[in-house]
Amino acid sequence: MKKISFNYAGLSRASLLGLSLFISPNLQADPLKDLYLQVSQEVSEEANHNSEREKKFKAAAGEQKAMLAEVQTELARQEQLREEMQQTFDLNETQLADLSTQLDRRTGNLGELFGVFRQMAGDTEKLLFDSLISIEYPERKAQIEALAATTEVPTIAQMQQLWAMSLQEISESAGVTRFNTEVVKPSGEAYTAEVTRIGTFNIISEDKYLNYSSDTQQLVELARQPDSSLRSTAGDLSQTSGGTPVGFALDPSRGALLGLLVQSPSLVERVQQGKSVGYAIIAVGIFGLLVVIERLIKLASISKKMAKQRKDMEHPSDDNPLGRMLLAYYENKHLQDLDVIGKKLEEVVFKDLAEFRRGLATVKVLAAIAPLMGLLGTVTGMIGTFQAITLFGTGDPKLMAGGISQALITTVEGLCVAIPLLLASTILSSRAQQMSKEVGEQATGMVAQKAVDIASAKA
Amino acid sequence: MDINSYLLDFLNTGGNVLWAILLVTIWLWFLIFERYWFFFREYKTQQQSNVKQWQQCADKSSWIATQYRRQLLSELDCMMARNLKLITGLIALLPMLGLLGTVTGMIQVFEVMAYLGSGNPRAMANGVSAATIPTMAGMVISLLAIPFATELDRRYRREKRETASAMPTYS
Repeated sequence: MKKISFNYAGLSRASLLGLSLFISPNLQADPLKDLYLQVSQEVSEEANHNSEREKKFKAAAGEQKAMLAEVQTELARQEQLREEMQQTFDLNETQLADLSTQLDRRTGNLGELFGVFRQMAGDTEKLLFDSLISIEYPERKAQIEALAATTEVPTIAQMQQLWAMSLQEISESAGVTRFNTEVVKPSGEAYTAEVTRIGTFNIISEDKYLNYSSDTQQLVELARQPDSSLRSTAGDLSQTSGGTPVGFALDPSRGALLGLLVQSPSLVERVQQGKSVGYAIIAVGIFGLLVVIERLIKLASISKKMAKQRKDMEHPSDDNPLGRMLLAYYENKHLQDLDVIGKKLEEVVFKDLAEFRRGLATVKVLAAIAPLMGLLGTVTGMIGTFQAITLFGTGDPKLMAGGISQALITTVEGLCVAIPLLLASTILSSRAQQMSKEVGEQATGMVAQKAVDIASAKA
Repeated sequence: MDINSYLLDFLNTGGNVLWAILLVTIWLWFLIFERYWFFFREYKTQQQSNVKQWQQCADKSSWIATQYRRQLLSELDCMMARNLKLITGLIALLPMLGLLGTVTGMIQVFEVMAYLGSGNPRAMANGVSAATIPTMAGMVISLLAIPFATELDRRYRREKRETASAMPTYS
């Protein structure tokens, strides 16, 4: 490269010279000689310079060669080193394998122990998280979490900790204790209250059963509490100071049964399950009950007025059957014909008998209709159920539940309406019968006696 | 297990309807015993006094006398007939209450099925017992009471007839 540039410089210089020659052809011969001398001098200078460079290059080449040799020896040395290290590595590898098999052999039982420990810790963690006892000792959760998360072979202290926790769980599950903690109402507001824990089974606050949800770590009052008889046993237990034994209704399923209680429908929900037929039955029942109440009041007032009239036979009033009969007798006394008077009295009695029996037929019919309406509800409910079966098959009993509950609820409602109405109709009819006997037979007898009295007073 | 808690347990197994049946049963048997008490104790004296009153009457055939006799008879009749209809009514009611218990028990069974599916017959057993026990109780009690009710009814009719014949309309 250098050489080429050099040549190029010379060439350009030559062309410059040529140009000057060309421009001044008529100049003297001296300058030409000078030019020659100058050129030859420059050529020799150039040659000197080149040979100098050459020497320099040659010297550099020697140097490079020496360096190359040096590097090559270094490489050979390194390769040898690599060789050696490879050997050491292989050796180490076999040694490591030996050692690890030795380790395996020696830690055989310990590894098993670690597995068992982890498994136990995991099981215990789940158990303690679901346990009611953890509400009383919340610090246990962090401990068991740490134990279950260990990745190394456990220490003796850790194993003893797990053991102690299991023992605590067992001993606490046998006891009834009281402590203060936060309780959440069904409406969502929280308050601190004294709660009583019965083993691992139930937890109560005063007379209320609580439910522990391990997901949210909260004690929640059951939205629907059990019967008052069961709640009173809980109240007794909350108040007792120990010493005397108290009975307590325990849920051995650890709250599962109490949890189902919340799902069971209330009375209002049950009534709603009956749908339109159910409401119709209830309407019939209310109507029937109103009729019955009206009748009972009416009959009671009539018999009260009659009793009052019986005490005071001298002043007949027309607000009761006996009084009306006496009035009829006084009106017709002048007839002197007892048969005619008897007929007149009977006429009055007939009107009153009709009054006693009024409404009885209605109650009887309603009592007969109510179970029939229940049957109607049963059938419509079954139709709904079978429609659900046609659409979805019998795989899911919950889909059929709506129709079935309607069928059953309407039957229950029909019976619930029919039974009191039937009872009321029996009471009403026996009462009406008795009163009609009193009016028809005893009252006429009294009138007859009155007639005798009047006749004897005249004589 | 003492008898008290045994009875309570039985009633709880049968459900709420069984309590209603117990109530009706107590009422029914109270009425039956009351009627027997009446027939054996109070009725005889009243009947004898009424018969004596009639026999003391000089006039026994006029319209007034007939009315008087009717009154005397009707007084006895009303005393005897009291509650008799209610007894038969309650006897008719008891099987109906049993049926009510059956249906409420069935509701329990279906509720359990809705929550736990049909694969758990033990969970359903409670509802089944609540369905069957009231039916049985209602049946048994009404069957037990029927002979007494019939007997009372026959006694009532017989006494009515005998009293009527003890008060002749001629002297």
